[in-house]
Amino acid sequence: MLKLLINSLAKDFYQRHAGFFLFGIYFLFGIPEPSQLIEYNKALLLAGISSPVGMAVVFISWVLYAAKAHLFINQKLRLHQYNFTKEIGSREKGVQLKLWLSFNSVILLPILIYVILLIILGLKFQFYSSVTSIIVVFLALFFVLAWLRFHSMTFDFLKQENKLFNIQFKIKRPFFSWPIHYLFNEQLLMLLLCKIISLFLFKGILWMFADVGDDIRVLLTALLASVICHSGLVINLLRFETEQLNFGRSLPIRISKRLRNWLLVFSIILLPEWVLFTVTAHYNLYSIANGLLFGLTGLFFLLTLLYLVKLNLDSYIKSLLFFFFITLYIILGHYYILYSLLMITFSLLFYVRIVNKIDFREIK
Amino acid sequence: MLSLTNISKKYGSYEVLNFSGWKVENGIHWLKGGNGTGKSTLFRIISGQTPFNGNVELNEISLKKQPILYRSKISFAEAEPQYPLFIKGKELIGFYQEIRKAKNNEVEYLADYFEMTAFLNNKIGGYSSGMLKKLSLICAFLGSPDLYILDEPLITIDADSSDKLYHLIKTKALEGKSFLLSSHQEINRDKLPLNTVSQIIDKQIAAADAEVTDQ
Repeated sequence: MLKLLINSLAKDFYQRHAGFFLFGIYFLFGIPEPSQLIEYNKALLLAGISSPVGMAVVFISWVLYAAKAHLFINQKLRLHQYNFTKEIGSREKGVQLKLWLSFNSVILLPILIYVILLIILGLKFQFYSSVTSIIVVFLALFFVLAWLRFHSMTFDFLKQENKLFNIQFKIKRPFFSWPIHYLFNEQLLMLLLCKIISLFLFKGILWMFADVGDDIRVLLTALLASVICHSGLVINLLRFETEQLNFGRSLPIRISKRLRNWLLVFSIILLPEWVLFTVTAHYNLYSIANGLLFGLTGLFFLLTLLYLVKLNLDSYIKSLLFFFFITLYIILGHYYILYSLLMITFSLLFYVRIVNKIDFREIK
Repeated sequence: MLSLTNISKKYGSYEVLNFSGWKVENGIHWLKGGNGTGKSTLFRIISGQTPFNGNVELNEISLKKQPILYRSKISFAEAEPQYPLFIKGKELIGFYQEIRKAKNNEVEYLADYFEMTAFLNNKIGGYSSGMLKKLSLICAFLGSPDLYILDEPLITIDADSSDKLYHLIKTKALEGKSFLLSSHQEINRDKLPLNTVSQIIDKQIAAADAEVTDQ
């Protein structure tokens, strides 16, 4: 059963969050010069364990990651294709806990690696209280997640309907806004976590390059990190389109209207990042225009990528990696306007000319 | 009326359909056959839902050359309709009403006819499979298309609703509308006279029954 869970749930989790992990890898290994790689990572780890503030930042990050993983798996387990997992609820408590602890060791692997490195460094530099708190917090997270999963698998049928976000709409919701309502109704926590991480990364990049001063390239790099954070959300939006809005394909709706709907949805999703971008750019119109174009282009290109690879997540991740590094170097080389214009033109043309020739039934 | 020429359709390397031509005149037509024969794929091709090789024309309007005009002349109800679960029945109908330019009294009539009026303010996620099927039929019957394509319209609905559906099809046929129905269940020909019965054998469409009732 563990192998099956790893091949289905865990694999899906890592694939869907490829953008996030990609950025993490870049943050740890891509920023410093090769000669300073070890010292840079050592400094980052020491910053985490040498002060209470550093420790708090580390623990909050872990809790956010664990919450995101837990909610993602909750969402997956509610799908019909995961109904087989209900069988787990018929096993003894000990067996279930052991299974979920083993599963957690896979899901929490990035944290586990970080924990081991922090402990080694903490012992070497004699930060014993930090080491103790790291072990306590990680084990608490590890066991609490397993217990929550056991509890939901065994007692989920007793749960009351959550009416917190069950807002009754009296007004007519326009068709273009249905994907947004889908995110709020069925992907709310994923959306919130995506936004928190996106804004966190945006501010993180600004903080990292604070010594550079007012440079639009720093702002665009921060926006690129935010765009990459939305890669999982774009997958869900396309799945929603192919599964629940597929009926619209036999209706007389112009392709230009479908295109406009996507652009509106992406504009609404990216609104918080654009507000932050605008404020950080000190309301400079040139920067704002670039930010709007670059953000919209980025999200629309992620959609184009998904169409190109027919929702094959392995290919999507590889393409994301390529997209991230190419875009980064183009920003650094000052070619961002030309790049944005070329990318949006390519994406628009692709949508108008090719999308109707892609078989949605093959997208699985 | 409906003309299909040199049609082929593959899913990956698996070929589902491959035939040189199929013409359908005005009337009610039943495409029968078991699971996996390609009925739903054929209906998705005719309704413009899936890409294919070949040509499809309805009254000389080409699906590939004039897709919007073509789609305005047909109406498609899927075998297993899927809609966003968080929207209400009336929101979905409202969307179809706007696209199909249907009148309010038409919506009210169809909702009453299929006994769905009381449930239209509920979210689709709370519908039973039968209610979902009836909702898809209400949406399909809105407006005034020339050809109705109903994929497995009888599954999940009760006997009374089936009778109502037969009656509605007959009424619309008398107004000059045409129907393509697919069903793996037998259609009650006493209740619904059929013009032709066809089936898909080895990726080709063939006449399945010579003893069809003339309307």
